[in-house]
Amino acid sequence: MSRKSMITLILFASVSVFGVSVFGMDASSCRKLVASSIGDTPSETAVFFANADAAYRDCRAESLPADVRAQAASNYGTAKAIRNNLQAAVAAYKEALNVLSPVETAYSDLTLDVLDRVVRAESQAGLRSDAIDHASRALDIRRTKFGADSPQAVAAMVQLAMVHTTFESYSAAEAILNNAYRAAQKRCGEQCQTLADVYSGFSALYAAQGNEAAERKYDQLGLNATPGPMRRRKD
Amino acid sequence: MRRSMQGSVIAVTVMAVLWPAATLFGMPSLCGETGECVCITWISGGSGTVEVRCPASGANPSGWSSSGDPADADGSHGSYDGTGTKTTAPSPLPGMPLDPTTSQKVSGAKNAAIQKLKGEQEYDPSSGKPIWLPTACTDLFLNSPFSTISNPTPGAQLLGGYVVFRDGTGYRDSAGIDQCAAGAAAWTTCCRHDPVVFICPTKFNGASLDVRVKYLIHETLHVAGQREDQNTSVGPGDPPNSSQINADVDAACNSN
Repeated sequence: MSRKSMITLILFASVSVFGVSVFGMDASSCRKLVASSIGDTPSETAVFFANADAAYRDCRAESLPADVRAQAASNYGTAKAIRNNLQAAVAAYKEALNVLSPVETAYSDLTLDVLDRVVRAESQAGLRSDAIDHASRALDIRRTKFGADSPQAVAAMVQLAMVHTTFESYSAAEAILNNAYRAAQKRCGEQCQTLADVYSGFSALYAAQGNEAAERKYDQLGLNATPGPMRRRKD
Repeated sequence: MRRSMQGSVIAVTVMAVLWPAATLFGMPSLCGETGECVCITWISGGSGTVEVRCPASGANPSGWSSSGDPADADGSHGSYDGTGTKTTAPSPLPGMPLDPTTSQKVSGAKNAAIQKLKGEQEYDPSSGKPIWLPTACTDLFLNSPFSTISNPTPGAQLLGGYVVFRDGTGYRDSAGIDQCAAGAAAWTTCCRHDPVVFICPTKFNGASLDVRVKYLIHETLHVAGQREDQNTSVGPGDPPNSSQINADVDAACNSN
């Protein structure tokens, strides 16, 4: 073995001992890094930013599990979105979706999480058709996984309606919200969080149209439908 | 004498520079800081009106003030609740309007937070009517200047009728920091009852309902006057830091 090859081998072996390879991190180190939570406070979020950047740099090798690679890309997208770099955020989220695409059924929760994130970033970035496509896909997956009238499907309908509202397709948004209302009412009657969220959707729709009276009406309906803490009677 | 004249000139110059900024939201130095009067800017559309609430026994009258100075309040009725003639004070709002998605997320969390801040509901067995009982969550606002006998749940009232939500994306605070880009989910100017709460959509909208409720109650506490420790040093008399306030809100409002 040449002297040069020996040095290279020793260098590679030594850095690998610390779990860090010149070609990226190993799976368990990456899994820890991508599990980093966004946190409540700016100081906690700063740690998330650092971990997200590191994971995006070191945890995208093909040899790593798909969920780790996707989470690394998704976290990076979120870090970019928070810092208002929406184009980079959308690109990272799409990368995460591409990684997940062949294994979507095995990782449907992660796929849904990334879809929700990309919808928000695309809406903010003004990417109308992409945002509608992704929101529709998130709705389809939730309908299949949880049921057409499930709270998860209703929340996805509200999300899709809000995307239409953002892009001023008010009649489309209203039709979707009406479907969401029927599904929520069928499921939980007059007072539940799901129904309250639908009313909030109507309120946001009418606010966007400058209809203050309707906005106030649905705000109040939303408040009335929101379950409050009830004291248990000591009988 | 000459030094005194120079001092006066400097004082007048400083006042001239600061006054427009101070009146932007009707929060000049006489409000809030003295512990005597509370100045509240009621926002309606793009305009705001400053209500000055002063104790009945104090030197200043309650009422509506064009400048936010308690001495300028009309006090025509002298009530603590600031009845009197409203004057309009143009008050352009900082930040941007909420986009529909954020508006829906804020609205849902606001309703859930208001229900918690109203207390626990129980049906009065004699009348059959619902009554609201105080909880640890309502008590978070017990010491705020907005808490009165006639208004025992000021947190719900502040959040429901006073706080104004704006998109804080790219908006810089008085120290020049873009709080949303720095990782805040929501923030407000502490602690002169500024009604504007900035929402940072990416972080706020991605949070669960319970977490969004916590963010809104946290910010409403600041609107009510709660101070927050901004440095890492801990000392006697220091207000709680952001994590401690979050923990208090969680324990009081999200524990069941």
